[in-house]
Amino acid sequence: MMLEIEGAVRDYGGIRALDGLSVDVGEGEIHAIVGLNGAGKTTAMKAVVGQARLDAGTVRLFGVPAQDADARVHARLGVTIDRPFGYPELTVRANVVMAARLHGMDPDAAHDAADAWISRLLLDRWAGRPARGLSLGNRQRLGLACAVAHDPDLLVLDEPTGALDPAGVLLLRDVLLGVAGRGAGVLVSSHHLDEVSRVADRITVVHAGRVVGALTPGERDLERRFFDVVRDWDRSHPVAEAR
Amino acid sequence: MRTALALALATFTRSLTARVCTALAVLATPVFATAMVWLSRSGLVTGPSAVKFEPLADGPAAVAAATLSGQILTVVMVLATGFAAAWLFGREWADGTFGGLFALPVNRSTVATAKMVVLATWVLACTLLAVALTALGIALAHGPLTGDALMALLRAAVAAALMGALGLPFGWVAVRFRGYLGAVGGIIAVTAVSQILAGVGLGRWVPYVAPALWAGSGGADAARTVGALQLGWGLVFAGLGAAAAVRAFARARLD
Repeated sequence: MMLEIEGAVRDYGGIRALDGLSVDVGEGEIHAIVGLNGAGKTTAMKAVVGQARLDAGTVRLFGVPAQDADARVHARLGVTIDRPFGYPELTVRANVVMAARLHGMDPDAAHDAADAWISRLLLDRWAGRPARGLSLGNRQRLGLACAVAHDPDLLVLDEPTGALDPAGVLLLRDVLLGVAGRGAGVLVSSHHLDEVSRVADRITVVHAGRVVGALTPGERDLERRFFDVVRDWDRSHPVAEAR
Repeated sequence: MRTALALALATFTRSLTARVCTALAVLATPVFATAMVWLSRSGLVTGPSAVKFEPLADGPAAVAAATLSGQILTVVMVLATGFAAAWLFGREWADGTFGGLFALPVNRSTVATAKMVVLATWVLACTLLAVALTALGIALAHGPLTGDALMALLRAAVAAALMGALGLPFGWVAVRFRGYLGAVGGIIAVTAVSQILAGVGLGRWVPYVAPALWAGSGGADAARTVGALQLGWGLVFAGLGAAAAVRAFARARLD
């Protein structure tokens, strides 16, 4: 497995953000986790990279406990959580180069990778401009370029379509298919069943900090099925819903 | 470390805060030290202000300007470095860039150390440049630099570099308060408390006062009360503060 989250628990002052959540991602697999706002998707992803600590449970990256992961493990990881990577005063190109270097690429390779991904994500027009001038959607594209420029073996993307226009969503979908096609694992979250969720190999429904069901990619009326799963869980767990 | 240094340098050199702080650190001292001594001897200053300018009119002009430069530069350097450190660390929260520094082969401890290296190098460069420009200004406005004036400038450089180093711990305040506003408040608080302690005669044991006293801010008698022990304590305090900032940055999370 590229990523395993097992029994993750996290309390924030009495509010349980994660309640035994378990999710994994295999080689070459796109695993989408979908859930309403506050379901625990972002907290789970933060725990993967150490942005948030867990009260209980484990995270393993490529079979290595996350707390023991060294530079070689981290070099295989590409992440964008909450806010996409990007220093506002640096140009788009400088940001991608810097992200690739921070993931262990040498400067020459980082420049080549940056040029390739800027072109692939149609950011050429803004390549020499400071990131602060980008629209939200283009910042999201920049964040994606920064996450994938070093060819990671595991990609963790939190709500990557939030600000993208339809063309951007299609670009992202193609990137994810390409990344998974070369054997990398992808964990992607969304609060709605967008285009990205639809290309996933697995769709897991997260609610109240735990996995409450699964959807079959490609099945009809995914949106209704999602709400059915959430409602069924709420009905059978009235106390947890109130909390 | 090379990558972390490249990141710290790239962001710092493109920052408006760093540019403003650099201009303040490098230009304020030569302009004010030279001009105030010239004004004190020009006869243009009259009324209550003339009393304030009176001490600057004593003795050789070059020595007076060099001594004054130490008093100005020590204050300027701690403020400029404090704001620069507050920005360089606090911006990671204010701009939401901190999250991108997790789970990287270049760890956050290295990133923070690189920030400190860039800041310390900047302190030394600004100090040397400010003193060099001050020497040039004094030579042009008041004639050749004598031995006493050169000694005063040397003392100004050492005291200013030390006060600059004492700005580094404000990086720790920025990390603890997750942004630069807390550090700005810290700079104001430290300045106020230092002034109060100096006012009751404890200044030589206050890291943020001793270098300025040694540079002549409290007069020649007060300068003689500060020695290697007090200055060394200031250097240790700066080092501890910088190390605390690095440690706090490496251990901070986003939950």
